[in-house]
Amino acid sequence: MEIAENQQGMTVVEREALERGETQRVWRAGKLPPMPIRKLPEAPQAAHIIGPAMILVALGVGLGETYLWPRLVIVFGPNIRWMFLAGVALQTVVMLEMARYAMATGESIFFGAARVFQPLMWLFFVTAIAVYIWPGHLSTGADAFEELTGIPWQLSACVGLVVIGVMFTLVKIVYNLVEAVLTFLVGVLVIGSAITAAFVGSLSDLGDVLAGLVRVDYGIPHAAVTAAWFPILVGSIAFAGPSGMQQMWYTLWLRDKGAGMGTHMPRVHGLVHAGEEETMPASGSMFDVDDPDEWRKWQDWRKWVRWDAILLFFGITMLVTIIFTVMAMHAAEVNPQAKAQLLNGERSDALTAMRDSFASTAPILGTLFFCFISLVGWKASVGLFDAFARGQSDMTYYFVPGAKRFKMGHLYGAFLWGVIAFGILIILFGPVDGPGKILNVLAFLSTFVMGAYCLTLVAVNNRNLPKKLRPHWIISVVLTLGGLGYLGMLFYSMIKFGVTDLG
Amino acid sequence: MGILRAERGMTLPTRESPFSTQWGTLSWSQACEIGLPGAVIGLLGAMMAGGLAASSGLSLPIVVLAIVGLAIPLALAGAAYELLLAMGKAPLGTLAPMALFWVLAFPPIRVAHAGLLDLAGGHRVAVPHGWAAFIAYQVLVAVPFAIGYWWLHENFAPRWWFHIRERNPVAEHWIRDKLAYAAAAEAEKERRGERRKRGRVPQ
Repeated sequence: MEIAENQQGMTVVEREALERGETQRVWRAGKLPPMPIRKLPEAPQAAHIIGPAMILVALGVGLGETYLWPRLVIVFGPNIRWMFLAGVALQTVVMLEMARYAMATGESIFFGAARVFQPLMWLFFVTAIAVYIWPGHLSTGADAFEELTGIPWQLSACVGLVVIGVMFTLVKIVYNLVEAVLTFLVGVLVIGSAITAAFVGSLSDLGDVLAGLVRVDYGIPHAAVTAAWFPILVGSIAFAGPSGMQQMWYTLWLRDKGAGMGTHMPRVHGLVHAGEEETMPASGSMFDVDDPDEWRKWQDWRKWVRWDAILLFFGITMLVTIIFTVMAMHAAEVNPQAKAQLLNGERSDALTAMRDSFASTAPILGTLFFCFISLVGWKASVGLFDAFARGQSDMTYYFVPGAKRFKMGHLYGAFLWGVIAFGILIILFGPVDGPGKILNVLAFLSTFVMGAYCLTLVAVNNRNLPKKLRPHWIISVVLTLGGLGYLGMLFYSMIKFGVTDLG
Repeated sequence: MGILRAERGMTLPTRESPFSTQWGTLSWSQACEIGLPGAVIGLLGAMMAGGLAASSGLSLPIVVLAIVGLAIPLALAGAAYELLLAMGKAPLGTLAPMALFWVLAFPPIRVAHAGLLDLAGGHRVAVPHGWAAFIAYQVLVAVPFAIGYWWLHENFAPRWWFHIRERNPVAEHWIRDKLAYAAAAEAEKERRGERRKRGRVPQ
């Protein structure tokens, strides 16, 4: 481990210690400020203390799981779901590797990318703005809410935006609120899905869905390799689990949770309490990997995050989607017209077709489906607005000259209210998914960024971490293939079919 | 959030104090307090299915029956699980016993509920694909229900225990256990802070 003396990136206490003649050991990675060597805290004793994977579950179990994949199953049959399993399995590996960097350094993946090559970080900064300022995720849920209640979707979407903004402004520690709200909503989603599944579906439907998950031999059906369906298939694979930049933001939630070296980083405060926030250090920190006790603590942290990733993230994501697929199969069985509607319809038509197909099983299920879509839309917005503001404020604080005059909470508040104000303007006066002409570009960017972060993650973990902490080469190969897979499918779709509308 | 296994109570239940636990004998009202989180989660599950029926055009008596027929048994089962925890028959915080409990409790509730709705609708009691497949399917669905129950229980029941801890010995013990863990973590943090202040350890 390359350890050097350096005065950058120290707190006042550390600088005083250095002035007293004590040396400051640091870990150098790239040209950015080196990371001081600090103590790794003990991992939580109970493995089942939830980590930020829960937020990722809340964001990840969205339209992909409740709408895109059930639709594909209705159209192509349950065997197509092996691709879903592959997508979620890859995302689980990504999650564990994101956690490796965040827990070892307390830095976000954006900071890690900047250590490798700063323009990479700016690419993510610009992509986030391009993709996530549009309130499309909220409007889909609000549409479903209008179907249920008759309340105009613009009204419920604007109220929803303001409620989210006020919540994150008044609260002292933003992370605690996000965790509490999303914990409840995920619990409701799981129990609600289970109860619904108890009324719909059968043992044979469930058997077909489970068998379909491992039918790799099924390959890609010819009917799916068309201009109409291949881009949707690509989008659905990208939307299996967390999509877009959600995995990157996971590193920021880990930091605020105090996971690993994140414990040495101050937590982001709501705007009202931003003045109470401690000053951010100039960089993350590193622990002494050669110290056996520190290494033991690191292994404990890895165990904790593996629980978070495999049981909470992988388990609950699979559970909810299996249930929704069983529902979809049952609906298609009962209402064959739904398949025809889904084959031809746009998203809004397809949502209605699915609602109708559920309703033909029992009237309650059509309503229930729209309730879930509303819930999914709102919970996605809670997480996404926090995540967007968190990521942009982190990059701004560290890399925009002069931004360190402000507290992180101030920058967070500025990005939060900026995106909310823009969202309200767009809901009232413009196209919610973005201007029509660039709609395809946005969907393209969302998938592109997933390929980009897989490759970035390989570089970050293999270049910025001490050798002992680096991932096994097999993991690096899986991530590289995953990244190339996302990008390859995306460009194939664009070149072969000239289509980038992925959903 | 430690995992703890309660030992069996030493005192026999009486008419006034039916539930003996390692930390004291619970009166009926204290037992009800302990059972409340489980009952509420059970009710939540039932409300999700039954409550929505109200907006789906079904007749009012069927809607009420759909809600009550599921809500009462799920709430009772949820409360019963809390009492099993209090009496040390199941360990606090672990998923497997909770899943086992619901695998046993959920299918009979669903069978009874399906039968009740058929009878109320004037139909013959029957299920698609036969009873064996129906029950097997309900057993499998009980697992995700248990996971949702466990999730909400682990994250929200402690808030209720904190609220009633002064008048309920079991809640008091459970909260003390959780606070002990939090205090240990806090003490470690303070020790680290002290070391930093003294400048002995360059953290």
